[in-house]
Amino acid sequence: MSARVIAGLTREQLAAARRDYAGIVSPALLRRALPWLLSALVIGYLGWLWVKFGLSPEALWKGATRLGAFVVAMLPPDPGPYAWDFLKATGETLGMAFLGTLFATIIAFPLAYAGASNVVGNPVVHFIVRRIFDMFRGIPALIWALVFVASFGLGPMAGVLALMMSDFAALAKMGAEAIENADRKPVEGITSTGATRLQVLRFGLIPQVLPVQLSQALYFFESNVRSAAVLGIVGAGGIGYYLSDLSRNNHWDMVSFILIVFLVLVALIDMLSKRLRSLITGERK
Amino acid sequence: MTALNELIAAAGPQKGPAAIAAFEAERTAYARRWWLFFGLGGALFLAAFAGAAFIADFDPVRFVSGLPQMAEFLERALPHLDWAQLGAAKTVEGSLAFWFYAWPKWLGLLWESIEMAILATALGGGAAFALSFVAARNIGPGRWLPVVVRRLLEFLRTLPDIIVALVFVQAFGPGALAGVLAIALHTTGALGKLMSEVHENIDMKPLEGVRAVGGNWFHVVRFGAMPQIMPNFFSYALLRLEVNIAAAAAVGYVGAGGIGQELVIAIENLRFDDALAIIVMVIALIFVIDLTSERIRHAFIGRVR
Repeated sequence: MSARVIAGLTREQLAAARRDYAGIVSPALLRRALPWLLSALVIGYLGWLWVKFGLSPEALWKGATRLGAFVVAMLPPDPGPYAWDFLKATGETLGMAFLGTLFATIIAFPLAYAGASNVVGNPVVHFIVRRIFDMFRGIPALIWALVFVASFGLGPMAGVLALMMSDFAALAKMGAEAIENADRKPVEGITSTGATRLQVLRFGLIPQVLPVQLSQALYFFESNVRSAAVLGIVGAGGIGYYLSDLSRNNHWDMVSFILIVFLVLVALIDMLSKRLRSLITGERK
Repeated sequence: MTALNELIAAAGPQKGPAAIAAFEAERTAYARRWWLFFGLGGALFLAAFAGAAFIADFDPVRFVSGLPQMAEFLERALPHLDWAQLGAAKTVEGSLAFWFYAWPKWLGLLWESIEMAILATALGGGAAFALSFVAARNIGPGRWLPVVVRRLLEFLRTLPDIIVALVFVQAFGPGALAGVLAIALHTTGALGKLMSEVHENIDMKPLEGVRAVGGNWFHVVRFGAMPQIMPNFFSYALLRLEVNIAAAAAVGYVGAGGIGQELVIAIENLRFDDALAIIVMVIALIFVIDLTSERIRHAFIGRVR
């Protein structure tokens, strides 16, 4: 058989297919090899990082055994004589998250309208306001906490201010996007009755946007309870201070007590906030 | 219009004063409900506010009196830049080069933080990818394994990565390794939860098809589910990389390597101008990452459209 048959095709038909569908039937070698080459490159780079950061089996094993010893030392959780201090610190963490989110929301509420292109029409102002939001959004809470601890001293107030500064711009940006996505019809309707600009804002936009902003604020509150736990490491109040101090001194039973209280708190807050969020957004539907 | 007319017709034959009275009754009932809801909510909110202010020790007077201290701190931390000398060599006080005198070292440490984030995202992303299929309600094998894995992912997600790094520094010793593992663990939880929710919304028909031709669980996942979720997975992993770079810069604060460690050392030695220079570099990095990822995202979205 001179004309070899592949899947019922003669050699001539195959050649015609190669010519007519170049790049699909038998693509060039380089194009076929490219995905493999790229994957090999990525895997090689990751392997190099693996070696660079010392993820050797013995280092992992040594660390894991020590970690195992910590876990054994964590059981049973025992606050010792400091149960009251730990509970107070947990409350402080919660209070910091609440106040930080509240202040951020209060600042963000009017700012969101300044950043919405359908409220402030001037594109230059819009651009500048949005870039200012971006600037503040880029600075994490931990860095703000460092600055506030250095200027206001140790304590939860630095934490409250840090959460406020790191969140207000993000909330304002999300609020501005919600305003821009609002339905235009109520606004037009109220404008047509001869309302002033302020009245259009109050009766046309705010009823649509307020529930969205509130539910965003609740969402930030949830995430801030977690963030607030960290701020204490730099001295800005809450459980972070105890966690870093006790783990450095190997009081693992106390660490696990604080962590369990914290995890229960986070679960409770998440549940409550979820309920409240569906209540807020559901009420207006 | 007809719908409205029908509605009015259905409301009954009320006319004149009776209709107005019915309307007023309805309105007062609504207003009462409204006030009850907001009165109760407001009271609860005020109580929460007072409680939080008390326990978090928030005192407006202390805040205002602390403001001059903040100016003083900034005065100490801000470098004494001299406009005339701004471009001068680093030996001249008041020049930018004098402020950022150690910039090659800091840039290297920034890069180390980025590499920590890349490795942590790859490790955590891989683990999250595998576990997310087990945790998904519609795909997960058996009855109990998905529930257990789901709880595990939630647990990992709730623990803040810096707290985990704090413990890992004790176990693995100070350095980047502890940071990488801590961030990888948090990534496993966060990404795994997210992806398992993505799996729960996929089209189940291809999976049924694979099962019908005799595929086992791995075949079903590989040929039924994976083709549907891969684009989502990569976009979420990229987003996570962005978050992890900021996290990698932060975990150094507990001794887990990268630029954060240098920042702590500067603050502990009261070299506030160094600290501010490092903070400026970290913020610049976060900016660049933000803008780049926005570009990449828009490029992808543009292609889909």
